[in-house]
Amino acid sequence: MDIKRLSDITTEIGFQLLTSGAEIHRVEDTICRIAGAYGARADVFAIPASLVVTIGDREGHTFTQTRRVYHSDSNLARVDALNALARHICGQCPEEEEILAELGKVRNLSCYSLRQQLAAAALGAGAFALLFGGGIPEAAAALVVGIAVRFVATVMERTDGGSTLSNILGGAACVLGAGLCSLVWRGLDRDTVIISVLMLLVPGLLMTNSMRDLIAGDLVTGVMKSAEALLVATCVAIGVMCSLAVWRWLTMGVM
Amino acid sequence: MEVFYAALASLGFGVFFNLRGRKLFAAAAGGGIGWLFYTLAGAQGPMMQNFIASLSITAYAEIMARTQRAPVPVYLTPALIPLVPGGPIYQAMLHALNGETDLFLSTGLLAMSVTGAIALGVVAASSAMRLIFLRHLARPSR
Repeated sequence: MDIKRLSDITTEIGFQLLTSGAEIHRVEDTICRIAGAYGARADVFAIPASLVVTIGDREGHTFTQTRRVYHSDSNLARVDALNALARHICGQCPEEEEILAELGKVRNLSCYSLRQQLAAAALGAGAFALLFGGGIPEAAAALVVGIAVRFVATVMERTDGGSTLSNILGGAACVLGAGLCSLVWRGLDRDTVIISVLMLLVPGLLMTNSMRDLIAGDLVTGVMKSAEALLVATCVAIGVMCSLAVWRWLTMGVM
Repeated sequence: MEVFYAALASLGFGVFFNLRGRKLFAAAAGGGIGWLFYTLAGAQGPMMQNFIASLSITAYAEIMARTQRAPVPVYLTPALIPLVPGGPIYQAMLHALNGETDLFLSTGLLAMSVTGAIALGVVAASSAMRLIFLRHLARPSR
């Protein structure tokens, strides 16, 4: 395979990995291995926002590509499929057409429907309510509010509302939903409901991953991710606090 | 019973991460295993508790990844979710809203250090596994 084709393919695989939420180390390592399998040398620099790949062959030709990454999600099934594809490429060194066909398949990997995602949100929030010592009423409330919060997030995603507003509204939906539930069912432990639904929004995973990157030596990535985690946490906190304040003010006479 | 709830929570998040079939349930089982160790280490205080839980989850995820030939995050990511310190983070927000700055700082710091403990557990376990498996792999070839 000539060097330009190899550059195209490795960059595309790296880009797909990066936008599917694979670790930086995996992105860089995969590209280097694929290039190595075809007898070329790769220098890769990846951060969550950008990917730079330089491929060099034995004759001294080099080819560089950069890709800007604007947003990524966590699609572990796609990471898994790409990883399997990369293993296959390194083992068999297949032709370009075959790789492109496989890449197309990976790109069209099916996602869960909205209804399934809402059900998953309900399941997650309900399970957290039970885990945090809530009873059946708390779990039921968390189920309903979890669906509401996930719905808000999906609507914001589809209308391209930006993650800042999405997180603020998510936090607000969480508190107001829990508040409404506690009006319907007196004696409901509202804080448990809020905490369980908040688990859907809290960027705990982002924080953990950023610390992992920092400890592993990917400093730029670690700092970027921790800044993002801080931003998300602040947005959720703003949403929660404002709506808590409003809720207290509204129910001053009632409760 | 709590172990089962933790597994259910991981299952829900596994769907967000678009996992399917056997991998989804294997990841959910990881959440259960993590919570099992979390409750077993209950007497050790929150740092040690989270550290041990994330050690166990990572060990499980690395073993699963190597036997199933799948990337580690497939099993690791959903399983870590139940450990996330959502409670302290919310408490910290409440304290901030009530103007209790010292309480806000101490709970916020607790949340931060718990997160650090989880990350350290992941790093420690995955480096240890790498050492073990490198030796294991190196032996037959030499």
